[in-house]
Amino acid sequence: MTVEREDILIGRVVDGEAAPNDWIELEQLAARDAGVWRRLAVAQREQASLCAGFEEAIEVADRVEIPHHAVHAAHSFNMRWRAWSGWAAAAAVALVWATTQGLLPNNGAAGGQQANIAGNLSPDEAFNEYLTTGMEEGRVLGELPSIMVDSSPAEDGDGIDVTIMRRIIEVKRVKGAFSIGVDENGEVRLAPAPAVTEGESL
Amino acid sequence: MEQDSTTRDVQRAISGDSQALERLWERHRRWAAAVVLAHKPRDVDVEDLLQEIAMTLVRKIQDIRDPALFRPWLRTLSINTARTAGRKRKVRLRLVRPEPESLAMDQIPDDSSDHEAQKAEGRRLLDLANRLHPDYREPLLLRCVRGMTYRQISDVLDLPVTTIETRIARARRMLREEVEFEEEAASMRVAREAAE
Repeated sequence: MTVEREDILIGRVVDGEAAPNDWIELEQLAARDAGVWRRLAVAQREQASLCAGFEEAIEVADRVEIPHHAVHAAHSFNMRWRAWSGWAAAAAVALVWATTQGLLPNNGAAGGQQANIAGNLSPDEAFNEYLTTGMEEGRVLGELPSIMVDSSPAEDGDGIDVTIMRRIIEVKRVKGAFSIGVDENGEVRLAPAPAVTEGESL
Repeated sequence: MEQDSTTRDVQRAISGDSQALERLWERHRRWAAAVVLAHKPRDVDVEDLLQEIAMTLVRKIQDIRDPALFRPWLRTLSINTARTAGRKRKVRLRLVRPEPESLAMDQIPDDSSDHEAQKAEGRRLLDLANRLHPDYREPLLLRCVRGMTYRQISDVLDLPVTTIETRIARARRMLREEVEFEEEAASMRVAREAAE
């Protein structure tokens, strides 16, 4: 399909990109064919309608927020990874140097202390660690907004104890699903269950 | 100017500034929605795709090598998310601000019948635009994002301005032909029903 000059000129006018020369050219075209003005009017009306429909279709975008919890989790993971990767690089260099200097037996396993990371984490940090690792591995998809279950004044009078339910979406792979049924003799039997899809429950 | 502030925010977001990341998202989410709308399968929800894009943005922002290339990066991410959406069924996340349950009388938008008619016509055109090739649909829809200029669209799509201009003009003509085809089909149906 070829694009006629008229389409380009009308497009520029509709999009507010027309230069004075474009207007002159359009008027010259319209002098030969008055239908140009009607086609321009139609194009303007359709563009306005299209944009109204578009606005309606994407207004949901304004409600989609950055998942704040994931921001924190992702950043803390990256910071930790940077720290660890730097340390690991330094250790590797030291190991190579020690080996070349004959300071380490070649056949010996390089023993060392394994940092007990989990032991040093607060519950929040451990939870973030779980989210981060889970997301990296593809097992955790995200966290839904928390639901407040209860709230009561703190016993020591310092603030309010708020009970919340945190909801995590995870993906797990199962090799086979079974349902519990009863056979013709009235005995409980396991039977392969059909695959469950979105919107259904297990 | 806008590009500069975007680049600055990308740099900050990469170094862990969550507010900069939030600003980036707020500035670009409608734009990402337009890209998604141009490339997504028809039966996939825009909101679900945006959730996924927001999540990936958080996880992968550190991977951006050149902050100046954030927009092409986000566009690629949006297209990939939209295209793969049809190939996989996923649990859908709802990380959204709750919708207001009710509006006070003075907050109810004044939807005149003209405005409603225009929105209905817009929905019809948007539906017809789905028949266009994404190469044409995308620049046409990007024009609706706060009136992006040809230059801005060409920067994002990495195409010459003249190509953008031509594609938009072609897209409009093809859309007009679709409208005429639909109207003709509708009038033939009416005539046939009247004859019966």
